[in-house]
Amino acid sequence: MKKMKFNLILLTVLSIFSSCSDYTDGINKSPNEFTDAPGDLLIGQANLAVIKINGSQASRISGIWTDQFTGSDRQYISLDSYIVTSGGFDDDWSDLYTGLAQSKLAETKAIENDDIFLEGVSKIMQAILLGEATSLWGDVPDSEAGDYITSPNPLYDSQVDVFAHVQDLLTDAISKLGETTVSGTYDTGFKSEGTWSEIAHSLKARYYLVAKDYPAALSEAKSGITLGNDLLSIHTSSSGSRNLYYQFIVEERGGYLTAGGPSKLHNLLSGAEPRLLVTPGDSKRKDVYFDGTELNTNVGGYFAIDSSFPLVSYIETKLIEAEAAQRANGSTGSEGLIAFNEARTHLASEYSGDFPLSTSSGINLTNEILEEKYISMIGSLQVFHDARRTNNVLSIPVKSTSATSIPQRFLYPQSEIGANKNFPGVIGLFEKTSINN
Amino acid sequence: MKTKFTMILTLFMALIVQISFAQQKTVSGTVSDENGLPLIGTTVLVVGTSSGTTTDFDGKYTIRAKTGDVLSYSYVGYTTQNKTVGAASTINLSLQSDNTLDEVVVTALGLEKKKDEDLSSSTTVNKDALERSKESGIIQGLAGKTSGLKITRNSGDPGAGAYIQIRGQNSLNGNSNPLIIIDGVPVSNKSAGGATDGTVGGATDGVTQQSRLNDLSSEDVESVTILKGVAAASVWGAGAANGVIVIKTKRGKRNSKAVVNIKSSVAFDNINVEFKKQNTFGQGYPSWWLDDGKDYSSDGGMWVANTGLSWGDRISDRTGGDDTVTTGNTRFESATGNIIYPITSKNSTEVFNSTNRDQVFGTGITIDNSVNVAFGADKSSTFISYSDWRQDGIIQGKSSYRRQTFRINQVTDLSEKIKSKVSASYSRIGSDRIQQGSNLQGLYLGYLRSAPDFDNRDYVGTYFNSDGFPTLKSHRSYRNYLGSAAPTYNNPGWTINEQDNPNYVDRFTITPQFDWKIKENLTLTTRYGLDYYNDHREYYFPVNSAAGLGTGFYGERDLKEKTENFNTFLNSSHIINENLNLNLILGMSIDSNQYSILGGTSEQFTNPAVGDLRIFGNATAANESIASYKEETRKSGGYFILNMDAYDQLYFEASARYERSSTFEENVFYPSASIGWKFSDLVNNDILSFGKVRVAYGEIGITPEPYSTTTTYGPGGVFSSWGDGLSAAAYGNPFSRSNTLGNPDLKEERIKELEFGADIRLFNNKASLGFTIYDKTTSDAILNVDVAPSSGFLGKRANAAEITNKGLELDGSVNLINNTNFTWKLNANYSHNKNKVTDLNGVESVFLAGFTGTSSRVVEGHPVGTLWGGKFARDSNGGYVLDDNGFPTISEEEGVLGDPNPDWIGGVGTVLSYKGFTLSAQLETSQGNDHWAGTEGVLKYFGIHPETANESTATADLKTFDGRTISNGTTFRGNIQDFGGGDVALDLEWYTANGGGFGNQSESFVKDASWTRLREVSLAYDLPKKLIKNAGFSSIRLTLSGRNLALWSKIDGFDPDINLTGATLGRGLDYFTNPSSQTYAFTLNLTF
Repeated sequence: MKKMKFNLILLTVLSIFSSCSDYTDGINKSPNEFTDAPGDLLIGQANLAVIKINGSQASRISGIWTDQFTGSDRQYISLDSYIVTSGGFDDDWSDLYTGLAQSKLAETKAIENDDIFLEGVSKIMQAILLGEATSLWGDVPDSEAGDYITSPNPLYDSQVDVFAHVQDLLTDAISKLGETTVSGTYDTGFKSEGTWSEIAHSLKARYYLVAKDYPAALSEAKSGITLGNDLLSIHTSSSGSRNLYYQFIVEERGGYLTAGGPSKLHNLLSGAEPRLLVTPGDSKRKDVYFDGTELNTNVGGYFAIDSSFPLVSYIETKLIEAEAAQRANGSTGSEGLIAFNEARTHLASEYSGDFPLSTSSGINLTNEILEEKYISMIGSLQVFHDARRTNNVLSIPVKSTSATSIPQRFLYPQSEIGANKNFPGVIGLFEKTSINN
Repeated sequence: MKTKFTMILTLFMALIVQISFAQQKTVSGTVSDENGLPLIGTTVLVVGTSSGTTTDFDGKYTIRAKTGDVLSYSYVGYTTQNKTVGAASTINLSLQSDNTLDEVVVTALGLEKKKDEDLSSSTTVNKDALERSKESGIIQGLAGKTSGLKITRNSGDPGAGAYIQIRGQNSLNGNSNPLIIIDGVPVSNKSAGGATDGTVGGATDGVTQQSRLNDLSSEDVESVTILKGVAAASVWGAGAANGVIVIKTKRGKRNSKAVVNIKSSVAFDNINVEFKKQNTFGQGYPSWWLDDGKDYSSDGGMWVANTGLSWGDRISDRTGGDDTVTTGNTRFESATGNIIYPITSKNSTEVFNSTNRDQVFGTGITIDNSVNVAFGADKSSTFISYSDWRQDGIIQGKSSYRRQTFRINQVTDLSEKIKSKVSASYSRIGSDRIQQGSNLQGLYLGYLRSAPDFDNRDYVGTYFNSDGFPTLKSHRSYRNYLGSAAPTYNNPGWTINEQDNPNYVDRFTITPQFDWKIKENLTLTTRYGLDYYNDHREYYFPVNSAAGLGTGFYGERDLKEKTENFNTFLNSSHIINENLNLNLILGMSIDSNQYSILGGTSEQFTNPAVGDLRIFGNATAANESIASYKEETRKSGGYFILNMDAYDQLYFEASARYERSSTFEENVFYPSASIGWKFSDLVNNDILSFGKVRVAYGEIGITPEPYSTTTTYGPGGVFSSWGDGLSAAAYGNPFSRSNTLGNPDLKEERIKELEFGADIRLFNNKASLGFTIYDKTTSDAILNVDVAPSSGFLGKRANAAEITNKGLELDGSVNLINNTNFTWKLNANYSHNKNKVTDLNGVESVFLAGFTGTSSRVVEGHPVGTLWGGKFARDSNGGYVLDDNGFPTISEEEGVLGDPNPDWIGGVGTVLSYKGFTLSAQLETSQGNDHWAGTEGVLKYFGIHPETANESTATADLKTFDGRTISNGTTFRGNIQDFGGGDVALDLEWYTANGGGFGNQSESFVKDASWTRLREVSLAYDLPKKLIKNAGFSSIRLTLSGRNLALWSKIDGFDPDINLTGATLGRGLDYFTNPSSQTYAFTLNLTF
């Protein structure tokens, strides 16, 4: 009797449950967020990731380590003498790889919808992100990157393989995009008067140069960005879209980043350190770059609130062409000199100043080209790549008494050390990446 | 749902089996206590049957029984008596108080139970102990009073919330707070923090928000029972996994005239620990920094305006007198009429540490008034209360808290069999909060960094530029002494007077309950609970607030939460025979929670002179934003609890809950069982008055948080950890896939606990001791596991961790003296909990809260909340790896720095009464907890910390961090230390690098923060009854009390009982956290 009663009770309870699932079920769908998004919105986020890697912390570190800038306050004082931890690189690495995943998602959507333009642009974004990743860190995940479901612990590909993949991506992109203009084609955050194809050629030149394939760099540079067609980031004075340097210097971390010392770049422009090629016009350029020994964040300054930041430019392309020609052609021909002087002519008009043409040749000319690139590409990661590739031929000062060279790479991030089971092992800051060995 | 409920009721009723009796007669009588007063609600049972009744309001009962039947009379706190039914049909008797401590615990369902028969480790804190605490929140008032419970304040701000932890951290999944049950129904205890967003806690800046538990007045509380063990809590299922706190509010007494209680209290608060600041060296830095020429020929510090650093010249070396200034157009005219001109030579030797301090801190005043009335009629009882707590904080300016509460608790007999209980309350809170933490607009950041030779008092005024053009409402701080533009850091005067962070809370709860006595031994209880609040928060930063918000910022957030619970259960008692009693509870409950946030921000004001206007629209469209968040969860469950006692000494309890939640659409089952043996009945011993051993096993779960099963997409944007970034809104709203991977395979976390304990009383109940050991394991703990960023995600929710908590709890008390005129009681408690994350699925560590350089994390093999950050590099012997100059280098990998969880906590309390005087005191201690002294590190960087003002004389040629040599015999500002490679000079180059808070190591700032404090002390005097009787009073009591009066700790500058990131899992962090306070209070209680 008692047992029966008990069983009956249990049965009742169970019956409540079978009928109460309709009370609880079906409301666990987020009312706050979407579960999918179209490709054109996804690529925009990848574009922002590209702007960030080029104009935020990675760029500031490169600038400090190449002594364009000086770390003057708080954590930046440590950064200035190369004191860094792996955790300090989490941020850039994460944005770079989530940006990569984002462009791969866009690519998938593009293929689904037969949108060759979106496919092309997403490949260019992947190429930039991977190109910078491998330039900064050496061996990095590529073939297994950005695909958590199949590869939760991406393997690291060799730097050579990553550069080869970057070139393939850009080749594909050029074939998809043809002469499509940047303007109006998935250009969130960007502005350029040119075509995606010329930008892709400049990028090919850039990464051939970093990989020391000078003949290929030379030939790609020749199809690269033409005058006035730089790919720039868009910044305005509205909150959320201000120049990243401006935000850092003025709004977030006043006093951290300066050209105090003054920095080598400041000295070259002010004449405190003589240039290889005398350039009176640099006094005008200095006023655009700097305000005293501060970075110029005033209206009209290089780092003003609404100043665009170059992602890949005509001047870079010309200087790649010049250097690559010098190195590919050896002592023969004048291709290098012509390209270099085209760059100088452009600078003369840009700054309305005196940028005398060069008559040098050989190693002197090569160094003049490198110095011009060092100055012209203020805040660019490419300057850091060049310094390491050329074994610091410009004698950028080593800022730490305990170091024998400038840093040769970024440290692998703590987040990757901690979470990737295929992480190959920590490599020190002063160990060269394989292409520079 | 309603029809479904009716159906269930019918089913329940169908289960009631009638048992009939023969040859019965009616027995009646009155049950009273030893003083002859009727005992209402005494249980009268016919032993061996299921027949029983309870006494009415006059202590009378009537029951049908046979001659020869044994009637059992029981009442909580009194010795049970048995009477055999004889010829007489009237049995009157008086029950004797059983002279135990008649301790009662409240079970998870809100039912009372004798502690002696309870098989759990639950402990109860009653109203006297709570009222003594002088805390605005009930939770804070529990600190140190019982074992197994750890309370940490979020800050000393008025009304600030607190973190509650019962038996260590079980889960990493969202809120770590225990479930709060008030009068039988769950209420919200969400604590949502953050400056400008509505995210739940974890922010390192913003204002300290209140916790919802502060909304209740402690004057309304009768008792608080802490259910520490899983077995005791499991009837609530998921949600009770972090323990349950059961609060019982006061009720009126039946057949009682109105008793009015009036309390009026005034309290004075002061800051209890302060950072010391050096006043030897002024604002500035060494002259060799000027052109970075590193020309060390002149190595003196010099005065530099507007720099953040105080590494300048020695103030006493100045010429004295007024500063040399340039009088001209350029000037700052302060609101008080002072004119400040550009300084060309700093001559003044004045220092301002103490005036700057007095600008910020003062005496906070709290006025707390409350009145309550309790009365009862024949068939009803009523309790009505009103309270008004008004507090001005120790921080001068806009720091205040005002809470008004109103409550009515009504019990009515609707019929002989049906009783209704209705509790309703309303709380209205208005408060002003002060910005804190890692925040250029925060109080401590600007105040503590201020140079000693800078006078902060003139913080607002008009700046005139060189053309004489005025800028109204200019903001002057040591980072911009002319107020020519928004300074880098706020002047503290600006932070506390010009910024405005009010919030307003309206909260209602209503809890109707019906008890239907279906049969003498069978009751159906049905409860509904509604808890609703609206928390409106505003954040206002006027134009010229420190960098970043210099163009003005206004934000508003409305948080709304509705918590509903419907619970119904059948409670039946059966007396199987003389030696075996059985009680069965069978019930079901459904829960629903709706939470939403709506808010927006407006920045870059179009009209900068907004005055008191707090509106959106005072900015261009691009600078306005709006955000919303909605969340709904539901849960339904059924449970049963079986209680058996045999031979009045063996107890057994089994319970089970079967439930389903909306966030995890599968049914889960949580069983538990306990057994206890009152062995003292077998031991005839004068020393042992009572002894019981108990064992309990329980399982409980935590369901995944809502919406964590799918990967989401939303407007993206990119932001660096340095603050610069691009928002999606400014770029046509591109969408980003969430960096957190949704996990459709998530299942519930399961906590299994085995506890063993004993409760013993000795020497005729004069001394009591309870102890419990427990072993608890959480498997499949859900957490945001870091995934390799190269996979395209940064984290995912996963059942990835295993956490164990093992511990020991001791509670003891002793009545040392117990005379009519003099009593002396002592009580003590001790808790030790060892928490360990035993498995993290191969992930090295997971961030919980803090900063990039120093954080509180989950690390495999370490306790939850482990402090983590940059370390010095070590060689294989544990020595520093030194650089060429003899200074330690930094390890390339971050690592574990300390454990913020205490090794043990404890409390000792005493109550002494002599005639009308009652003296009580409570000591509390926490031992072995580490804390990151982030503020101290940063003050070293700035040259503010007294250590940085030491002057040392080199006893040999000493190297500095940057490779200079300080030659033998030279006196320099700094210290000498040997890191293993011989003495080196720690001067500003060291402190502004790795020796200070902005360097790449934080291990030297993680410190042992063990503390012991005099938590409270009070002296009360009850006026003699005969004196006040004529005036119509039944009691007048005067109390002088103090809270937090003494603190012993190795930590300098702050009270380690606060935490920057509030009531989150991230523990042991200090970074410009608003300070804590101590209180002196005077209270008058009147009863008539």
